[in-house]
Amino acid sequence: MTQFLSRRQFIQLGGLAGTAVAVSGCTINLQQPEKLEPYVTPPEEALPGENIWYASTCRQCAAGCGIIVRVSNGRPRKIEGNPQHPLNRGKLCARGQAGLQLLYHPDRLRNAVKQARRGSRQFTPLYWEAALAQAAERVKAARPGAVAFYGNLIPDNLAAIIGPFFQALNAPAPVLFDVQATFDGRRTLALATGQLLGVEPALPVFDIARADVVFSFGANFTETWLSPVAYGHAFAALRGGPLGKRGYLVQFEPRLSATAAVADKWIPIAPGTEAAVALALGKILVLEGGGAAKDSPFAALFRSADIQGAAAASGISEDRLRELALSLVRFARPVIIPGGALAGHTNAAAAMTAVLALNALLGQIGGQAGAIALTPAAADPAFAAATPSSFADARALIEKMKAGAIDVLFVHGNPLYDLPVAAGFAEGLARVPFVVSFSSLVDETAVQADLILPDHTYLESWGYQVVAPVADRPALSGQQPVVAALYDTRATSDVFLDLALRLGGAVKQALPWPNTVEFMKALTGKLRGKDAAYPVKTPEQAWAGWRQMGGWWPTAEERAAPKPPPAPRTLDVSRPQFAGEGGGYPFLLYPYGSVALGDGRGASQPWLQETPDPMTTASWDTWVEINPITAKALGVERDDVVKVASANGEIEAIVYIYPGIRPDVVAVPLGQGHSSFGRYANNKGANVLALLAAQTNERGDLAWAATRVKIVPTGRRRVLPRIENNVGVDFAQKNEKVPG
Amino acid sequence: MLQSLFRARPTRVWLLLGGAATLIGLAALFAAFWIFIQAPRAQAYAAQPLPFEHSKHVQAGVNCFFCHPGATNGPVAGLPSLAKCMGCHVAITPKDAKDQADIDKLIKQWETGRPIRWVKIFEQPDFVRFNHRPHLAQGVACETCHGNVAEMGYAQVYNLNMGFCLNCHRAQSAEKVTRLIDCATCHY
Repeated sequence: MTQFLSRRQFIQLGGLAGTAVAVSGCTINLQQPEKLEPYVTPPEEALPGENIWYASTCRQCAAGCGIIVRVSNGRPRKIEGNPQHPLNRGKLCARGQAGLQLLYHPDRLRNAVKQARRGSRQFTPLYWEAALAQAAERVKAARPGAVAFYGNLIPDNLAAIIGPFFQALNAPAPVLFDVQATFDGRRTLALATGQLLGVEPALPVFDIARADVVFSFGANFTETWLSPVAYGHAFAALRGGPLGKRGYLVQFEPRLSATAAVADKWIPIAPGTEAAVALALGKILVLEGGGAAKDSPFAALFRSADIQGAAAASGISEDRLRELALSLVRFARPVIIPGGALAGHTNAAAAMTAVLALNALLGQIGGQAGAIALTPAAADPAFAAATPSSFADARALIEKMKAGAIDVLFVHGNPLYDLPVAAGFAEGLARVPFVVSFSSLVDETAVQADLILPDHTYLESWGYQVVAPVADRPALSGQQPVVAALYDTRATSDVFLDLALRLGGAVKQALPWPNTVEFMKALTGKLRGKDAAYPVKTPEQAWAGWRQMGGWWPTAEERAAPKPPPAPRTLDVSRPQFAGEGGGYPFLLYPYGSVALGDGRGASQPWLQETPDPMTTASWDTWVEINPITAKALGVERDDVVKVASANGEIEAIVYIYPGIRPDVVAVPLGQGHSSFGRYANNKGANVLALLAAQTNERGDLAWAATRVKIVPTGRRRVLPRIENNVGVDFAQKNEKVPG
Repeated sequence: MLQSLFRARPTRVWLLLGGAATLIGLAALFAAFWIFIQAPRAQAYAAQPLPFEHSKHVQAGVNCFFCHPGATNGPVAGLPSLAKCMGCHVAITPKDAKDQADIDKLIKQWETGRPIRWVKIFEQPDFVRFNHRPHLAQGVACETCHGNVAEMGYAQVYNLNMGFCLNCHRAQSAEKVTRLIDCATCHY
């Protein structure tokens, strides 16, 4: 038996087989001839084989980065950042790059459809004329004030059109509830800034590029917060300061996010105690920091803070707090950022105010030198920007729907996925007689609509975006089609302009433009070229420059420096409330926006599905991050499937043992759990938003990090797709390492 | 099975037999390659979607650049759009019934509004940066590389490999030759 085949023979035979493969490999060319498809009717400027680049605006999130799209033979091939654009300066994130997959998505709706019965998926194609006539008829027949619009952070040009539309109809103002904006704390932060500085609500600009130390309270600015591309650029400047100065970053967050991972110090703060910690840091500065802090008019605000209490609640020792606070006075330009994670608690506004006041205490608000400035006012008031509505606004609309007071509902977004189940959107929707969706993929909400009027993708439509959150100058980002619409879809802004014509009267008067192009020409005609990056003397020049450059912005930085604010005397910080307290829910749920999938909008694109999460390297599924100690106590191991249950619902997720999280917190990324969002998103993972309690903070925004959950093992296992091994994690688990 | 083959005392005979079997196998592989891959490929090149003939167009006095204007000002000559075909063919009187039938096919295609999927004949690998413009600017005639199109049907397959290019590049004047035979001229 041992003499099957001698070693020599094995080598001989192997050589023969190898030669055979090599010989045949030389000649076989399996490639079939390529096909050439010349145009039916060519565009005038197209030269075969030569690329055309169009400057436009990314709409994968609401930041408004400038993009340049390479178009070859009439087809967009590659999206890159626009180097001239003041926000992203030529850079672009993974989501921006993946935008092509929205355009070419195989499950896009190719024409307007009506659905026989909601949820039946029996779609009948409609000609646009018939579809628009039907929508107009329904709006005409609706009771006064019974037409409503629900959306997320829609493009600014659409917001500028539907605003007057619904006003002229005497209908309630459009509700724009956006998960991403809620997780960023956009609205709460703008209101807190407005109140503290005594100005109109506006997002502040945190000048981390020129800072020397940054304390970030849960601001994931290298991942998802406001504009990760712009802040990522600024972060690089912080790290590579002039003359070898390297800025310092301290991240306060219950979970080791990618931003915390690149920070010099990660402080795993107890969720909801950020306000107390900010006040305690301020008090230490006032008492021991000397100089500016002691004499600051803001000092009074901090004097009543309870350092001991803050240390006990937050899990940061008094010594550590003192060390952190006193490190701030050693630097000339400290910046302290109230990040999105604060917005998730019921005391969000107080926490954000406390953190902003800490900047004021250090003299960083006011004057051109300040590290915090306000987003400059829009270039022209005609360029209106979409502002997010609060969760309370969304609930008010849902209550109206439930009461049967809404006859026609226009939906541009996906509330059945976005809103916590506890908000009751599904029940409200069932009471609305006519629902119109604008979704280009049949998403969860579109399945429950009567009529779907699919929108163009952003690569096929006209528009603009007021670059709000991080811009250092009043920039407008222009959006233009880089390709003729692939299918018989229609831009939603065009749909509303068309409806305005059909409805006539006040609505037609408010919106006199026949289409979005004319609307955009009218708007850009108002631009003047005093400091613009290109000469603007006539409206035609403005229109040409707008399309060539991809928007309008001044060449030089313009910072709106706020006046030094009047100091408030007191600040009420309420104890954070957590839904499910004392109800057998031992863990605090910390949902976080996925770097690739965002709030779930990216799930339709396979490139983004495949992009690994930066901390866990996992993709394609939903996992729950559990501290090794907690996991041991629960008796679960990695890749175990567990139920994460709150008082409002439950989801299944795969256990990921993560030393970078507090033992009393479990974290679940957003983005998956779609039941209807195209073939690449369907039936993957679970939607963590379903677990959230319908709680709000003081400003009416969703308190998304204030829900307690329990973990119940199911006894099943499913391997989480990830590209890293688990050596480090296993080591940490074995040695019972506690973060912090 | 395989075990019984090799369990027997391995001798030179077995090895020879094995070698012969491998050779037969290889021959079969080559035969299969010709039958299933190469022949269909040749056929695929011949199978154009419309019975287009260059010869008729050239003989009718149509200049190359009328249909392929990209050659003079860009990297790719390009194929004419359907709109351009129809620009003439709406007005042309066919010679005979076959011509009529062929042109009807074109008109039918035009009415569908969909592009014709021609089979590509002249192909360069992705690592070659060929550009028509400098060649035409130097007065190289189309026929130099594409053959006498005036006598062709659709087109003939030429082997436009590196040797073909270099034969010509080497024959240029001394001050140009250094540049023209530099690798990076075409591969960059």
